[in-house]
Amino acid sequence: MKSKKFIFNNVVGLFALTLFISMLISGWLIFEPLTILIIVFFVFAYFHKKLNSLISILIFGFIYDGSLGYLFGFTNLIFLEIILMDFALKKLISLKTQRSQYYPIVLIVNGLLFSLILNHSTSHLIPYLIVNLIIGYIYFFSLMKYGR
Amino acid sequence: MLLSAKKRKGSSLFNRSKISINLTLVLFIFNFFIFAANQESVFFKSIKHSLNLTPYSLSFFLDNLSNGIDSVHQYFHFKKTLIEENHNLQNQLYLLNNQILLQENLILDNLELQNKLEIKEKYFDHSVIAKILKINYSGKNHHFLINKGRSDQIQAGHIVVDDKGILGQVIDVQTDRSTVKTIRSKDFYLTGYILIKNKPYQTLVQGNNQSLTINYFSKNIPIQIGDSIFTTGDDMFIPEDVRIGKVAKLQPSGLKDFYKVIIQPASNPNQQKYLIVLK
Repeated sequence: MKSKKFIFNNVVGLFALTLFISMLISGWLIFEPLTILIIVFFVFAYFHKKLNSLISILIFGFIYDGSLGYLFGFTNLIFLEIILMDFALKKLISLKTQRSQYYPIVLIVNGLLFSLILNHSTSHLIPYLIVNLIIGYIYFFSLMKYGR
Repeated sequence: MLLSAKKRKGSSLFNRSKISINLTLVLFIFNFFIFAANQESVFFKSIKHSLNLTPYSLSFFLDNLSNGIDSVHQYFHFKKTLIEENHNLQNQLYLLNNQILLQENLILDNLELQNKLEIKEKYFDHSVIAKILKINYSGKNHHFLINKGRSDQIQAGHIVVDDKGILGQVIDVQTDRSTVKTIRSKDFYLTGYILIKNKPYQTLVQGNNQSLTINYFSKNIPIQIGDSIFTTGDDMFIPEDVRIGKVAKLQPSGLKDFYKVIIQPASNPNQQKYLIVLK
Protein backbone atom coordinates (compact mmCIF):
# COMPACT_ATOMS: atom_id res chain seq x y z
CA MET A 1 0.00 0.00 0.00
CA LYS A 2 2.75 2.33 0.98
CA SER A 3 4.64 1.81 -2.25
CA LYS A 4 1.43 2.32 -4.25
CA LYS A 5 0.72 5.53 -2.37
CA PHE A 6 4.24 6.66 -2.96
CA ILE A 7 4.00 5.99 -6.69
CA PHE A 8 0.62 7.67 -6.94
CA ASN A 9 1.83 10.73 -5.04
CA ASN A 10 4.86 10.83 -7.21
CA VAL A 11 2.70 10.71 -10.30
CA VAL A 12 0.51 13.48 -8.93
CA GLY A 13 3.62 15.58 -8.43
CA LEU A 14 4.77 14.85 -11.96
CA PHE A 15 1.34 15.72 -13.30
CA ALA A 16 1.37 19.01 -11.42
CA LEU A 17 4.83 19.73 -12.81
CA THR A 18 3.66 18.90 -16.32
CA LEU A 19 0.61 21.09 -15.95
CA PHE A 20 2.68 23.95 -14.63
CA ILE A 21 5.28 23.75 -17.41
CA SER A 22 2.48 23.49 -20.00
CA MET A 23 0.82 26.62 -18.68
CA LEU A 24 4.15 28.38 -18.48
CA ILE A 25 5.00 27.62 -22.11
CA SER A 26 1.44 28.19 -23.33
CA GLY A 27 1.55 31.56 -21.61
CA TRP A 28 3.43 32.86 -24.62
CA LEU A 29 0.71 31.51 -26.93
CA ILE A 30 3.09 30.70 -29.75
CA PHE A 31 2.21 27.13 -30.74
CA GLU A 32 -0.98 26.23 -29.01
CA PRO A 33 -2.04 23.60 -28.12
CA LEU A 34 1.18 22.29 -26.63
CA THR A 35 0.11 18.70 -26.10
CA ILE A 36 3.50 17.04 -26.17
CA LEU A 37 4.16 17.49 -22.46
CA ILE A 38 1.02 15.70 -21.33
CA ILE A 39 1.67 12.94 -23.89
CA VAL A 40 5.17 12.48 -22.52
CA PHE A 41 3.78 12.44 -19.01
CA PHE A 42 1.20 9.79 -19.91
CA VAL A 43 3.75 7.56 -21.61
CA PHE A 44 6.19 7.93 -18.80
CA ALA A 45 3.57 7.30 -16.12
CA TYR A 46 2.05 4.39 -17.99
CA PHE A 47 5.21 2.50 -18.80
CA HIS A 48 7.64 3.50 -16.12
CA LYS A 49 5.54 4.35 -13.12
CA LYS A 50 3.16 1.44 -13.78
CA LEU A 51 0.14 3.64 -13.30
CA ASN A 52 -2.50 0.98 -13.72
CA SER A 53 -5.47 3.04 -12.62
CA LEU A 54 -7.22 4.25 -15.72
CA ILE A 55 -9.52 6.35 -13.55
CA SER A 56 -6.53 8.40 -12.33
CA ILE A 57 -5.41 8.89 -15.89
CA LEU A 58 -8.84 10.03 -16.95
CA ILE A 59 -9.10 12.44 -14.03
CA PHE A 60 -5.70 13.86 -14.89
CA GLY A 61 -6.80 14.24 -18.48
CA PHE A 62 -9.95 16.11 -17.56
CA ILE A 63 -8.08 18.41 -15.21
CA TYR A 64 -5.50 19.10 -17.89
CA ASP A 65 -8.17 19.85 -20.48
CA GLY A 66 -10.07 22.11 -18.13
CA SER A 67 -6.98 23.93 -16.97
CA LEU A 68 -5.62 24.69 -20.40
CA GLY A 69 -8.96 25.37 -22.03
CA TYR A 70 -9.00 22.36 -24.35
CA LEU A 71 -12.11 20.43 -25.21
CA PHE A 72 -12.87 17.83 -22.56
CA GLY A 73 -11.70 14.38 -23.58
CA PHE A 74 -8.92 15.67 -25.81
CA THR A 75 -5.94 14.42 -23.81
CA ASN A 76 -7.73 11.30 -22.66
CA LEU A 77 -8.41 10.34 -26.24
CA ILE A 78 -4.74 10.72 -27.03
CA PHE A 79 -3.76 8.61 -24.08
CA LEU A 80 -6.26 5.86 -24.81
CA GLU A 81 -5.15 5.86 -28.42
CA ILE A 82 -1.57 5.35 -27.22
CA ILE A 83 -2.68 2.38 -25.12
CA LEU A 84 -4.59 0.89 -28.03
CA MET A 85 -1.60 1.44 -30.24
CA ASP A 86 0.52 -0.32 -27.62
CA PHE A 87 -1.86 -3.28 -27.68
CA ALA A 88 -1.84 -3.35 -31.44
CA LEU A 89 1.92 -3.19 -31.70
CA LYS A 90 2.21 -5.90 -29.11
CA LYS A 91 0.07 -8.15 -31.26
CA LEU A 92 1.64 -7.25 -34.58
CA ILE A 93 5.33 -6.84 -33.82
CA SER A 94 7.47 -9.09 -31.68
CA LEU A 95 10.62 -7.42 -30.37
CA LYS A 96 13.22 -9.84 -29.17
CA THR A 97 14.71 -7.61 -26.56
CA GLN A 98 11.34 -6.33 -25.39
CA ARG A 99 13.24 -3.30 -24.16
CA SER A 100 13.56 -1.16 -27.19
CA GLN A 101 14.78 2.29 -26.37
CA TYR A 102 12.77 3.88 -29.14
CA TYR A 103 9.43 2.30 -28.43
CA PRO A 104 8.13 5.02 -26.07
CA ILE A 105 9.27 7.64 -28.57
CA VAL A 106 7.30 5.93 -31.27
CA LEU A 107 4.26 6.02 -29.03
CA ILE A 108 4.82 9.67 -28.19
CA VAL A 109 5.09 10.64 -31.87
CA ASN A 110 2.00 8.60 -32.53
CA GLY A 111 0.14 10.47 -29.79
CA LEU A 112 1.30 13.78 -31.18
CA LEU A 113 0.07 12.95 -34.66
CA PHE A 114 -3.24 11.77 -33.22
CA SER A 115 -3.57 15.08 -31.35
CA LEU A 116 -3.06 16.84 -34.69
CA ILE A 117 -5.88 14.79 -36.17
CA LEU A 118 -8.14 15.78 -33.28
CA ASN A 119 -7.16 19.44 -33.29
CA HIS A 120 -5.75 20.74 -36.58
CA SER A 121 -6.22 24.38 -35.78
CA THR A 122 -2.52 25.19 -36.02
CA SER A 123 -1.48 26.81 -39.28
CA HIS A 124 2.25 26.30 -38.76
CA LEU A 125 2.45 22.54 -38.90
CA ILE A 126 6.19 22.06 -39.38
CA PRO A 127 7.31 24.55 -36.69
CA TYR A 128 4.64 23.14 -34.43
CA LEU A 129 5.98 19.60 -34.88
CA ILE A 130 9.60 20.68 -34.45
CA VAL A 131 8.90 22.62 -31.28
CA ASN A 132 6.74 19.86 -29.85
CA LEU A 133 9.25 17.14 -30.62
CA ILE A 134 12.17 19.07 -29.19
CA ILE A 135 10.28 19.92 -26.01
CA GLY A 136 8.96 16.35 -25.76
CA TYR A 137 12.43 14.87 -26.24
CA ILE A 138 13.91 17.09 -23.54
CA TYR A 139 11.04 16.48 -21.16
CA PHE A 140 10.90 12.72 -21.68
CA PHE A 141 14.59 12.16 -21.05
CA SER A 142 14.51 14.57 -18.13
CA LEU A 143 11.77 12.42 -16.64
CA MET A 144 13.72 9.27 -17.43
CA LYS A 145 16.74 10.64 -15.68
CA TYR A 146 15.25 12.40 -12.67
CA GLY A 147 11.70 11.13 -12.34
CA ARG A 148 12.29 7.45 -11.71
CA MET B 1 23.78 9.04 -22.94
CA LEU B 2 20.19 9.86 -22.31
CA LEU B 3 18.82 7.00 -24.35
CA SER B 4 20.88 4.44 -22.51
CA ALA B 5 19.38 5.61 -19.26
CA LYS B 6 16.21 3.77 -20.12
CA LYS B 7 17.82 0.36 -19.75
CA ARG B 8 16.52 -0.18 -16.30
CA LYS B 9 14.35 -2.71 -14.61
CA GLY B 10 11.18 -0.68 -14.87
CA SER B 11 11.24 -0.43 -18.64
CA SER B 12 8.78 -3.25 -19.25
CA LEU B 13 6.69 -2.18 -22.18
CA PHE B 14 4.81 -5.33 -23.13
CA ASN B 15 3.73 -6.67 -19.77
CA ARG B 16 0.60 -4.67 -19.29
CA SER B 17 -1.86 -7.53 -18.97
CA LYS B 18 -3.79 -5.75 -16.21
CA ILE B 19 -5.49 -3.30 -18.51
CA SER B 20 -8.32 -4.78 -20.46
CA ILE B 21 -8.44 -3.83 -24.11
CA ASN B 22 -12.22 -3.91 -24.02
CA LEU B 23 -12.33 -1.41 -21.18
CA THR B 24 -9.84 0.78 -23.02
CA LEU B 25 -11.98 0.69 -26.13
CA VAL B 26 -15.10 1.57 -24.16
CA LEU B 27 -13.34 4.45 -22.49
CA PHE B 28 -11.99 5.60 -25.84
CA ILE B 29 -15.46 5.69 -27.34
CA PHE B 30 -16.87 7.37 -24.24
CA ASN B 31 -14.19 10.03 -24.39
CA PHE B 32 -14.76 10.52 -28.06
CA PHE B 33 -18.41 11.24 -27.39
CA ILE B 34 -17.49 13.73 -24.73
CA PHE B 35 -14.94 15.31 -27.05
CA ALA B 36 -17.39 15.53 -29.89
CA ALA B 37 -20.26 16.76 -27.71
CA ASN B 38 -21.27 20.38 -27.59
CA GLN B 39 -18.98 21.74 -24.86
CA GLU B 40 -20.52 25.17 -24.86
CA SER B 41 -23.18 23.88 -22.50
CA VAL B 42 -23.54 25.25 -19.00
CA PHE B 43 -22.30 22.01 -17.45
CA PHE B 44 -18.92 22.02 -19.25
CA LYS B 45 -18.57 25.76 -18.92
CA SER B 46 -19.05 25.62 -15.18
CA ILE B 47 -16.40 22.88 -14.89
CA LYS B 48 -13.98 24.90 -17.01
CA HIS B 49 -14.75 27.98 -15.00
CA SER B 50 -14.00 26.14 -11.77
CA LEU B 51 -10.70 24.91 -13.17
CA ASN B 52 -9.90 28.43 -14.40
CA LEU B 53 -6.17 27.86 -14.83
CA THR B 54 -5.83 28.83 -18.45
CA PRO B 55 -2.63 30.27 -19.86
CA TYR B 56 -4.33 33.64 -19.71
CA SER B 57 -4.72 33.34 -15.99
CA LEU B 58 -1.06 32.35 -15.75
CA SER B 59 -0.01 35.37 -17.78
CA PHE B 60 -2.35 37.41 -15.62
CA PHE B 61 -0.57 35.97 -12.60
CA LEU B 62 2.85 36.73 -14.09
CA ASP B 63 1.78 40.27 -14.99
CA ASN B 64 0.48 40.82 -11.51
CA LEU B 65 3.62 39.33 -10.07
CA SER B 66 5.72 41.87 -11.95
CA ASN B 67 3.29 44.59 -10.86
CA GLY B 68 3.64 43.36 -7.29
CA ILE B 69 7.43 43.42 -7.53
CA ASP B 70 7.18 46.94 -8.97
CA SER B 71 4.88 47.95 -6.13
CA VAL B 72 7.27 46.56 -3.52
CA HIS B 73 10.14 48.36 -5.22
CA GLN B 74 8.11 51.56 -5.32
CA TYR B 75 7.20 51.12 -1.67
CA PHE B 76 10.84 50.84 -0.62
CA HIS B 77 11.82 53.69 -2.93
CA PHE B 78 9.02 55.81 -1.47
CA LYS B 79 10.08 54.86 2.04
CA LYS B 80 13.67 55.81 1.29
CA THR B 81 12.51 59.14 -0.16
CA LEU B 82 10.35 59.77 2.88
CA ILE B 83 13.23 59.00 5.23
CA GLU B 84 15.49 61.40 3.31
CA GLU B 85 12.79 64.05 3.35
CA ASN B 86 12.26 63.52 7.05
CA HIS B 87 15.98 63.83 7.63
CA ASN B 88 16.09 67.09 5.66
CA LEU B 89 13.08 68.44 7.51
CA GLN B 90 14.67 67.57 10.84
CA ASN B 91 17.81 69.41 9.78
CA GLN B 92 15.73 72.42 8.76
CA LEU B 93 13.84 72.27 12.05
CA TYR B 94 17.13 72.17 13.93
CA LEU B 95 18.37 75.22 12.00
CA LEU B 96 15.09 77.05 12.57
CA ASN B 97 15.22 76.26 16.28
CA ASN B 98 18.74 77.62 16.36
CA GLN B 99 17.60 80.76 14.59
CA ILE B 100 14.73 81.15 17.03
CA LEU B 101 17.13 80.77 19.94
CA LEU B 102 19.46 83.32 18.38
CA GLN B 103 16.54 85.70 17.88
CA GLU B 104 15.43 85.18 21.46
CA ASN B 105 18.96 85.89 22.60
CA LEU B 106 18.99 88.98 20.43
CA ILE B 107 15.69 90.15 21.92
CA LEU B 108 17.02 89.61 25.43
CA ASP B 109 20.24 91.40 24.51
CA ASN B 110 18.23 94.25 23.07
CA LEU B 111 16.11 94.52 26.20
CA GLU B 112 19.19 94.52 28.39
CA LEU B 113 20.90 97.09 26.18
CA GLN B 114 17.82 99.30 26.23
CA ASN B 115 17.76 99.06 30.01
CA LYS B 116 21.42 99.99 30.20
CA LEU B 117 20.94 102.84 27.74
CA GLU B 118 18.10 104.21 29.82
CA ILE B 119 20.26 104.08 32.92
CA LYS B 120 23.08 105.73 31.05
CA GLU B 121 20.85 108.51 29.76
CA LYS B 122 19.18 109.03 33.11
CA TYR B 123 22.07 108.89 35.51
CA PHE B 124 25.49 108.71 33.86
CA ASP B 125 26.18 111.06 30.99
CA HIS B 126 29.85 110.23 30.69
CA SER B 127 29.71 106.51 30.49
CA VAL B 128 30.09 103.73 27.98
CA ILE B 129 28.31 100.41 27.69
CA ALA B 130 30.60 97.40 27.54
CA LYS B 131 30.04 93.71 26.99
CA ILE B 132 31.38 91.09 29.37
CA LEU B 133 33.72 88.77 27.49
CA LYS B 134 35.05 86.44 30.13
CA ILE B 135 34.26 85.92 33.77
CA ASN B 136 36.98 84.91 36.25
CA TYR B 137 39.46 86.13 33.70
CA SER B 138 42.90 84.42 33.73
CA GLY B 139 41.81 82.14 36.53
CA LYS B 140 41.33 85.02 38.98
CA ASN B 141 38.15 84.99 41.00
CA HIS B 142 35.98 88.06 40.80
CA HIS B 143 37.70 89.41 37.73
CA PHE B 144 36.26 89.67 34.27
CA LEU B 145 37.10 91.05 30.90
CA ILE B 146 35.07 93.64 29.00
CA ASN B 147 35.27 94.67 25.36
CA LYS B 148 36.10 98.33 25.87
CA GLY B 149 39.56 99.69 26.39
CA ARG B 150 41.85 102.58 25.86
CA SER B 151 40.33 103.36 22.49
CA ASP B 152 37.08 104.16 24.31
CA GLN B 153 38.89 106.37 26.84
CA ILE B 154 38.61 103.79 29.58
CA GLN B 155 41.14 104.23 32.37
CA ALA B 156 42.17 102.14 35.29
CA GLY B 157 40.05 103.15 38.28
CA HIS B 158 36.84 103.69 36.36
CA ILE B 159 33.82 102.32 38.13
CA VAL B 160 31.60 99.70 36.55
CA VAL B 161 27.90 99.48 37.41
CA ASP B 162 24.94 97.43 36.31
CA ASP B 163 21.23 98.16 36.65
CA LYS B 164 21.26 97.14 40.33
CA GLY B 165 24.27 99.00 41.59
CA ILE B 166 28.04 99.25 41.69
CA LEU B 167 29.74 96.19 40.35
CA GLY B 168 33.49 96.76 40.32
CA GLN B 169 36.39 98.80 39.13
CA VAL B 170 38.61 98.73 36.08
CA ILE B 171 42.11 97.71 37.12
CA ASP B 172 43.85 97.12 33.82
CA VAL B 173 43.28 98.69 30.41
CA GLN B 174 44.42 97.55 27.00
CA THR B 175 43.59 98.96 23.58
CA ASP B 176 40.17 97.38 23.26
CA ARG B 177 39.99 95.25 26.39
CA SER B 178 39.77 96.03 30.09
CA THR B 179 39.94 93.94 33.24
CA VAL B 180 37.41 94.63 35.93
CA LYS B 181 37.71 93.61 39.57
CA THR B 182 34.38 93.15 41.33
CA ILE B 183 33.50 94.65 44.68
CA ARG B 184 33.45 91.16 46.19
CA SER B 185 37.24 90.85 45.81
CA LYS B 186 39.05 90.65 49.12
CA ASP B 187 41.32 93.64 48.45
CA PHE B 188 38.51 95.91 47.32
CA TYR B 189 37.71 98.80 49.66
CA LEU B 190 34.93 101.29 49.23
CA THR B 191 33.56 104.12 51.25
CA GLY B 192 29.82 104.06 51.65
CA TYR B 193 27.00 105.21 53.88
CA ILE B 194 24.08 103.35 55.35
CA LEU B 195 20.76 105.08 55.40
CA ILE B 196 19.25 104.42 58.82
CA LYS B 197 16.01 106.25 59.40
CA ASN B 198 16.94 108.68 56.63
CA LYS B 199 20.19 109.45 58.33
CA PRO B 200 23.45 108.47 56.68
CA TYR B 201 26.22 106.70 58.60
CA GLN B 202 29.57 106.58 56.87
CA THR B 203 31.53 103.38 56.90
CA LEU B 204 34.24 101.41 55.09
CA VAL B 205 33.13 98.43 53.09
CA GLN B 206 35.48 95.59 52.18
CA GLY B 207 35.06 92.57 49.94
CA ASN B 208 35.52 89.10 51.39
CA ASN B 209 35.34 87.02 48.18
CA GLN B 210 31.72 86.09 48.89
CA SER B 211 30.00 89.29 49.90
CA LEU B 212 30.94 92.58 51.51
CA THR B 213 31.68 93.24 55.14
CA ILE B 214 31.83 96.17 57.51
CA ASN B 215 34.23 94.89 60.09
CA TYR B 216 33.27 97.23 62.92
CA PHE B 217 29.94 98.99 63.13
CA SER B 218 28.78 100.53 66.39
CA LYS B 219 25.97 98.76 68.15
CA ASN B 220 24.67 102.15 69.26
CA ILE B 221 23.47 102.87 65.76
CA PRO B 222 20.08 101.20 65.17
CA ILE B 223 21.09 99.28 62.09
CA GLN B 224 18.67 96.69 60.78
CA ILE B 225 18.83 93.85 58.30
CA GLY B 226 17.68 95.13 54.95
CA ASP B 227 19.11 98.62 55.29
CA SER B 228 20.64 99.85 52.06
CA ILE B 229 24.17 101.07 51.63
CA PHE B 230 25.29 103.60 48.97
CA THR B 231 28.57 104.98 47.74
CA THR B 232 29.83 108.14 49.30
CA GLY B 233 31.80 109.07 46.21
CA ASP B 234 35.20 110.62 45.77
CA ASP B 235 36.63 113.27 43.56
CA MET B 236 38.22 110.81 41.22
CA PHE B 237 36.06 108.05 39.82
CA ILE B 238 33.48 106.81 42.29
CA PRO B 239 30.15 108.60 41.88
CA GLU B 240 27.88 109.44 44.76
CA ASP B 241 24.73 107.62 45.81
CA VAL B 242 25.21 104.48 43.80
CA ARG B 243 23.70 101.44 45.52
CA ILE B 244 26.21 98.96 46.93
CA GLY B 245 23.89 96.46 48.56
CA LYS B 246 21.79 95.60 51.58
CA VAL B 247 22.58 94.56 55.13
CA ALA B 248 22.23 90.79 55.21
CA LYS B 249 23.61 89.74 58.61
CA LEU B 250 24.78 91.32 61.85
CA GLN B 251 27.51 89.23 63.39
CA PRO B 252 29.52 89.78 66.56
CA SER B 253 32.92 91.27 65.90
CA GLY B 254 36.08 90.99 68.00
CA LEU B 255 35.09 94.11 69.92
CA LYS B 256 32.25 94.17 72.38
CA ASP B 257 30.41 97.26 71.14
CA PHE B 258 30.64 96.60 67.45
CA TYR B 259 28.91 94.45 64.94
CA LYS B 260 30.46 92.80 62.00
CA VAL B 261 27.98 93.65 59.22
CA ILE B 262 27.62 91.34 56.24
CA ILE B 263 26.33 93.13 53.16
CA GLN B 264 24.80 91.35 50.19
CA PRO B 265 25.94 93.22 47.05
CA ALA B 266 23.14 94.44 44.81
CA SER B 267 25.00 93.73 41.59
CA ASN B 268 25.75 90.34 40.15
CA PRO B 269 27.97 90.09 37.06
CA ASN B 270 26.88 86.51 36.43
CA GLN B 271 23.40 87.73 35.52
CA GLN B 272 24.60 90.44 33.13
CA LYS B 273 25.85 90.56 29.60
CA TYR B 274 26.38 94.31 29.40
CA LEU B 275 27.72 96.76 31.94
CA ILE B 276 28.09 100.49 32.21
CA VAL B 277 31.59 101.90 32.65
CA LEU B 278 31.49 105.34 34.28
CA LYS B 279 34.03 107.79 32.96
